[in-house]
Amino acid sequence: MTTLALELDDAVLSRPRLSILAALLGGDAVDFTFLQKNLGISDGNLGTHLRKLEAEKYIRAKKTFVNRRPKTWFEITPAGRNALAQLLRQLEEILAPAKSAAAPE
Amino acid sequence: MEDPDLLKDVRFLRDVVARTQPTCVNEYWPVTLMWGCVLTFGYVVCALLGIAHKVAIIPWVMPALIYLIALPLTWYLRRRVQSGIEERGVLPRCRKDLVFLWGSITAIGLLWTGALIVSGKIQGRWYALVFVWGSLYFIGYIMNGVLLSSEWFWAAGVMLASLVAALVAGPQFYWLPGIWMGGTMVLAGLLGRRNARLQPVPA
Repeated sequence: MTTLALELDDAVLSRPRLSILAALLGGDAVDFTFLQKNLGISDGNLGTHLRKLEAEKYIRAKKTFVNRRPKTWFEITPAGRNALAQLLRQLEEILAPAKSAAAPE
Repeated sequence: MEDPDLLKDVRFLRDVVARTQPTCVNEYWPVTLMWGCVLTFGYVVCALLGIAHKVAIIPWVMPALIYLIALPLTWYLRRRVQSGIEERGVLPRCRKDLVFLWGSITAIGLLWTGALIVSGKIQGRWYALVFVWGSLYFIGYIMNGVLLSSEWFWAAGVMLASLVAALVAGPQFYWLPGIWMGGTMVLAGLLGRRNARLQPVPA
């Protein structure tokens, strides 16, 4: 593993957490069921990953009432956006040598 | 050799982004359509009052229609559309960009209207208001096209065409952009409705 790879943010570098952040990139807040349906992650698993991202302040949860029932919405924070953008930049950097080597002479 | 897991991850991420990003349609098209109908109706009423020489009532027509009909209906229709979106599990964010855009357009339009009335320059030149508001709407429609959905470019095109046509055709046609101020909103509302139905909503 390269030094660069070791610097990658573990909180983002997992398929479920990466896909949660990607799903929230549009800027709208979404509920638990929406994420579950679109990401295909089980209840418990999704809850764990959401808690981890919330603890890192990459997403925030807000509670509202819909038809008199409490509902939790999740939205990405600026820190979450930065973390995702940084990860994508780092992945590009990792791939850069391969890209230049593969380029035709 | 390609790493199948890595490719699977990349494809999965691509699909997630495609499935979950907000669509480029104006889901609030009923609000647009309603404003179009109210403004067109108001303009026709003002024109009829002008023809009947009941000029004193004209300044009260639009404010009365806006405050008594358009704003309560906006609240009701907005709430209905938003409930539909919330049922899909999405809480739409407040579009501050659009709020500031139309807030600024309204403020500038009211300042121009006020200035024209207070300075007395409006006497015999009522059409100045139509051109001021028509030009401001044109800018708003272009920005709506950029920020919200593409049907607003059609509305902007029709608005600009009516402004140019009125200028070219002369004073007898200065009423034309006025009728299209509401007309373009009706057009944008109907096109928005079509686009919203054509585009599949995210699961």
